[in-house]
Parts: sequence; C-alpha cells; structure tokens
Amino acid sequence: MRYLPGVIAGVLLAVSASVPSAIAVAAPAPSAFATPVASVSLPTLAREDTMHTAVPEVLVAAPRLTLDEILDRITRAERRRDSLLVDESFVATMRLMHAKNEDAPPSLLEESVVQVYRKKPDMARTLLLRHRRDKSEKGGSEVQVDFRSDMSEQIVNFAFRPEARRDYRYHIVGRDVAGNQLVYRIRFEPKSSLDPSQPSGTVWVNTNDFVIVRQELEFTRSPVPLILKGVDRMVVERQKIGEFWVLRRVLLRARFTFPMPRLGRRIDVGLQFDDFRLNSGLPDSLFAKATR
Amino acid sequence: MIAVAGLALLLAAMPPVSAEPDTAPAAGDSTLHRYLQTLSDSTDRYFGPVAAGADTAGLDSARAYALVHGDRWPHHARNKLTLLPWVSFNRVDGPVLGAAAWYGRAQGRGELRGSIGTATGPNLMLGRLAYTKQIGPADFYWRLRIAGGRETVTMDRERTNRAIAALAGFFAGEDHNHYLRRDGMDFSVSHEGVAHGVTLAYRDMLESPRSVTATWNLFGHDIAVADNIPAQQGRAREISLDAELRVPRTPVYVQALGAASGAKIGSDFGYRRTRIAAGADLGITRWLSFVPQAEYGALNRDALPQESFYLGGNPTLRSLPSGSLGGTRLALARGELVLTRDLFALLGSQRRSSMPVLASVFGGTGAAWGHDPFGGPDRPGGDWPDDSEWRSEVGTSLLYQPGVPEPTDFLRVSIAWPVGAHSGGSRVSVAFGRAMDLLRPFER
Repeated sequence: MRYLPGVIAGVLLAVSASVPSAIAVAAPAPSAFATPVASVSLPTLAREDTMHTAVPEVLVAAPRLTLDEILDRITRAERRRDSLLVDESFVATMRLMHAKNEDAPPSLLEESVVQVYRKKPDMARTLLLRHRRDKSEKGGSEVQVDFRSDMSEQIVNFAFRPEARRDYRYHIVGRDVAGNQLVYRIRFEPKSSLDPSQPSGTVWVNTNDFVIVRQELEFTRSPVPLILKGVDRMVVERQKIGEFWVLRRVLLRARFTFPMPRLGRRIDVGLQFDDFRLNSGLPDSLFAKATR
Repeated sequence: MIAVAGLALLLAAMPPVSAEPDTAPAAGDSTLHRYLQTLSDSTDRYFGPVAAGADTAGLDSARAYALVHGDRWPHHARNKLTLLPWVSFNRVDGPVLGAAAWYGRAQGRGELRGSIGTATGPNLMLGRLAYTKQIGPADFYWRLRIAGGRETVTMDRERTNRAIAALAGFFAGEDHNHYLRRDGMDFSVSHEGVAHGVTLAYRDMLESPRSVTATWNLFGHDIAVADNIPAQQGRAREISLDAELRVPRTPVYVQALGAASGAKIGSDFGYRRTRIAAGADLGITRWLSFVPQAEYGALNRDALPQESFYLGGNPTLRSLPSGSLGGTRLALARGELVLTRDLFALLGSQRRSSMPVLASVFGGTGAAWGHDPFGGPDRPGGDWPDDSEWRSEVGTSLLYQPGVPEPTDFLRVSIAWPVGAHSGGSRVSVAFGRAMDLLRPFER
C-alpha cells in the first residue's frame, strides 16, 4: 500500500482503517439498543465498551511511484505470471469478417475453433474443433491458427519487456479508481518512427498485481502500405482466471490499399479465448504427437 | 487407441482448476471487472459482430473426437514443396532462366532451398542448393547452414542491390556491378538473440573471372559499364567471423567482420579482411528520425579485386556511380534525417494516402584508397586517406516504404550533389534497401 500514489493511498488507508467502525455500525448500536429496551422496561443489558473502535483518519504522505518503478513492477509481475504458469489449455475462436467496401457491414468469411494445450518447457498441441466458412467461398486457402508453447503472452507485454524499454517512450496518461483498486493507464510510443510495424498504444495496469489487463494499439502509419491502407484499431483484453490474468480477446480492424480478391476492402479479425484451465497437470502423453 | 480415448475422456471430464472468470469474485475484483466490462462494451460496439461471444455448443464432443482421431489441422500439409520461376539479368550472365524451389521449415526438420538455371549469355548452368536448420525460439536461436553450387556473385561483398541492378541493366544498360563466378560450398553456424548475433563461417570455393556477354538492353541505350573487373582466379578457403551487437540501453548497432584466408588452410590466396560498421536510429520527434552511420574497412596482404572495398552508389555515396571507386581501405560516414510523415498528409490531404511518400535529407563523406582494383595507380594513404581522397555529398530522397520484405525497407529515389574538392553535377539514383544500409542485414 505504501507504494500507492500519495493522496490516493491516504484515502485508501483511511477507507481500510474505517472498516472496523463500519462493522461496529452494522452491528446493533448501543443507543439503538437502549431506546427500545427502555420503552418496554426490560432488564438493562450490559454495554460492551470493547465494541467501540474509533480510529482517526490519517493522511499518509507517501511518495508517488515513479514511472520507472511502475515499469519495473510491470516487468516483474509479467515475469512472475509467466514463471508460475506450468501448463494451460483453452479454446480459441478465430473469426475473420470482411466487407466489400469500407462502409459496408461485415460478413463472416471464416471461423475456426481450436482447442489448445500448452505445457512448459516447449510442448504445444492445437486441435481443430470446428471450422466454418462463407458458403459462397469455393476453394481458396484457409487461415490456420496455430499456437506455440510460449505462455508469456507477448502480444500484451511486448512493449514492457526489459529489452523493449530502450525502444519506447512511456508516460502515465491517467489513474482510475475501481472500487479499492487503482488502475494506471500508461501510454507507450516507439522512440523511432522509421519502423511502421512498431505500434504505439495504451495499457491499463491493475496496481494490485501490476499486470496489464487491457491494451489498445495504434499504428500511426500502415505497417504494410503495399497491402494495408491502415490498421484502424486493435484491442487486446485480458481476463482473470483464479490468480492469473490471461488473454480474453484480440480484436483488429484493418483496411486494404486495394480491393483484395477474397477479402474486399476491409477486414475484422477477432480472436477469443474461453474455457481456460491453468496448471491442471496436463500429461506429457497428450503432446506425444505434437512436441515442438 | 484405447489409451488415447481414455486420455480424451479424462481431459473432457477434468474440471477446471481455476474457476471461470468472476463466478464468485471478491468485491474489489467485481468492481474492477465492471470497470473493464465498460471498456469492453465500448469495444463491442465499435467492432460489431466479430467481437460477439463464441458459440461453444458441441465443442466437448468435437474435442473428444479430435483427441482420438486427429491432430492439429490434419487437412493442412505441414511441409509442402514450393516452386517458382527464376528470372534474372546481369552483364556477364545475360538473361538467366530457371526455377527455384524450397521445402520444409528451418524450425522443423530443416529447410531445403535450391535454384537451377541457365545463364543464356555464356550458356552456363548455374545452381545452388542450401540446407538450413534452426534450433531454439525466434528470439534466441542457433542456425546451421550448408550450401553449395555454382553462382555469379558481385565483386563488392558488402553491397549487391542485385534486383535493382538487374532491372536497370535489362531496361537501360545501367548495371554498374562487377561480377565473378564461385564454384564450391560454404558452411556456417549462427547464433542470434534479441540484441546480438554471431556467425562463424567457412567456405571453399573456386573463384574465377567473368567477361561481359550482354552488351544490349531493352531500350537500346549505351551500356553504362562495358567491362567487368577480372577476379583473380584461384581456390579461396576462408574462415570468417561476423558479429553484431546492439549496444545496451542505446539505439546504436555495431557490426564487425573478420575474414582470413591463407596457405595454412589450403587457400591459393592469403588475406586478412576486416570491416567495422556502426549505425543508430535516433527518434527526434514523432515524425523525425536521424540515422547516423559509419564504416571502416581494411584488406591486408593479397589485394584481390574480389576482396576489395568499393565506394559509390546508393548504400555509400549516392553522388558517385555504383562501385566506381575501389581500394584496399575504405572509410565512410553518413547522416540522414528522415521525415516519416506522409508528404500528401503534410500537403493537406484529408484522406489517408494509400501510398505514403516520405522524405529525407542526407550528407556524407567517404574515401577508398590503397591498391586500385580497377588497375589504376594506388591511391595515397595509410590507415587513413590523404585529404584529397575524401569525397563528400549532400542530397535528398523521396521514400516509399512498402513494409515488405522487411518493415524498414525503402524504395528510394535520390538526388545527390558532390561538394568540396570533387564537386560536380548532381546524380539521380533509384535503390531499394534499409535505412541503416551500411550495416549488412544479419543472418535471419
């Protein structure tokens, strides 16, 4: 708690310090007891003085966390999260929608549902459970979803890895209080603008565990101008499963430079993650056919 | 099969160790969940149907079936043979017509890549076969490569720009490269991490001179370079070490190459070739980057044309024709300021351009001295050249960044003016390459 920003920490400390008082108020108050007791002339009850707790509010002037400290904590938290994960399984749904022109409503091109099993150090298996595609599509290749054994979710924390710190500028754009939790919004931008594939973006960091819970990415220029006119928006969401924050959704909308034969002018990509099972002790034999 | 079926049933029946999200969240978690959900709802509205929840009906039985009967994406071949035509052009080979193919993945059992074709000018078969195997994750791997065959390579080991030279030579006779033939094999082991890379290589090749066979071009222009520097014939056995490092906590890259050949390893040649290059990508503002680069090279003992250093052309000094100066020593420094904002947008276009054009200004200075591979008199200088040997320039470029094959690759149209003692007329050039083009692309 002492690491939370000064005034907010002070308020939170005051809130937590007032909890016993709140409990006392919730219990029958002595005065409330006294009046009805007197009115019906029942025997006087002993007053329990120990039920009274009065804690004065204290404003704590703790120093605010510096941006560097926050970045260090994010790095440590993401590394800790990764180190505690031994295996995981989940269902991933990849949905591809396209639009003939930029303003047309999107229609489903194809959807694949896969079951993914991953186990450290290097085991991964992807099973195709269902595949749907637009009925008007004949022939053409399918988009294949395959997952590697890495569980560190680089798509979320790529800009916050130790080796990425020299490539990005960071600044705090806001702090939101959600209940008794503080969420930092941190913006990152690549230091060099020469590489258009390096996005800028904003992450939401929950200060309870300093894990990234949401990320929005922006590409100031198209990463592949020859093919893509631009990436309008990309969002990565995480969800909490037990102790761990894991991917929930990855959503992206992009427009093409010219109408693509199968895809049209615009594409929406959605990757959704469900049915997580973490550290469930997946047997090695599950990966016997697909060790990578 | 029974064991697999049992495993499938076991996994299907296995309860999740961790609960579904927020089935019974703590009060704080619940508030955070609502906070995140508000953001998610806004995201849902933006993305529409692609963000809708997944239909999970029937997945349990599909999972059990897949565990027993199928592996991942059984309808996709993991390795397939890819065949492509191979068409090329240069002054010594003339048109080269053939085919290229590859099979497999370097990260799997290995990639086999080959090409075979006929150089129609000298009526010579050319071909090369390479096997590459990579071990480890993409950000920390070891790579083994064995290759062999007969090929035509450029005399300048650092800079080739073969694709642009082929087009310029075929259409307008503007092929400025010099070539030699290599027959033999090479072997290399590379290791690459996030901020470093090392390659140890050995080659055993017969090197021989080539003569010009294609003196024509499609538009009938006079060819810019009518001869080809003759390479010294002999068997070259060489051990080389190539290293690249990103200096910690800086945007500075340093690359060093050391190559040695001598009678002790059975080579007909004896030389020591050293080259050091450094460059940085300094973001000044969101739309402006400064790219300073420097290079120094030295060739000791046998002054072979095929091991010399060359100056001129897009990657070095753009005011000089490609590879027009050579020597056993080379020094070069260049700085470029790149405006990474689309010029159309700067001119007030409201729509996002589908072909963003960037711009840059640059200035550079360099010298090649020592023994002249073109046969002229030696240029004066020791470890550094005489002052009279330095060539300097300033210029500007229009850049198109297609994003492929590498994100930082540019198609560049430049105009450069020589300044100082060797000042003269401007020169326009077209090239394709990286912003940090004095650093050779590392093995990836």
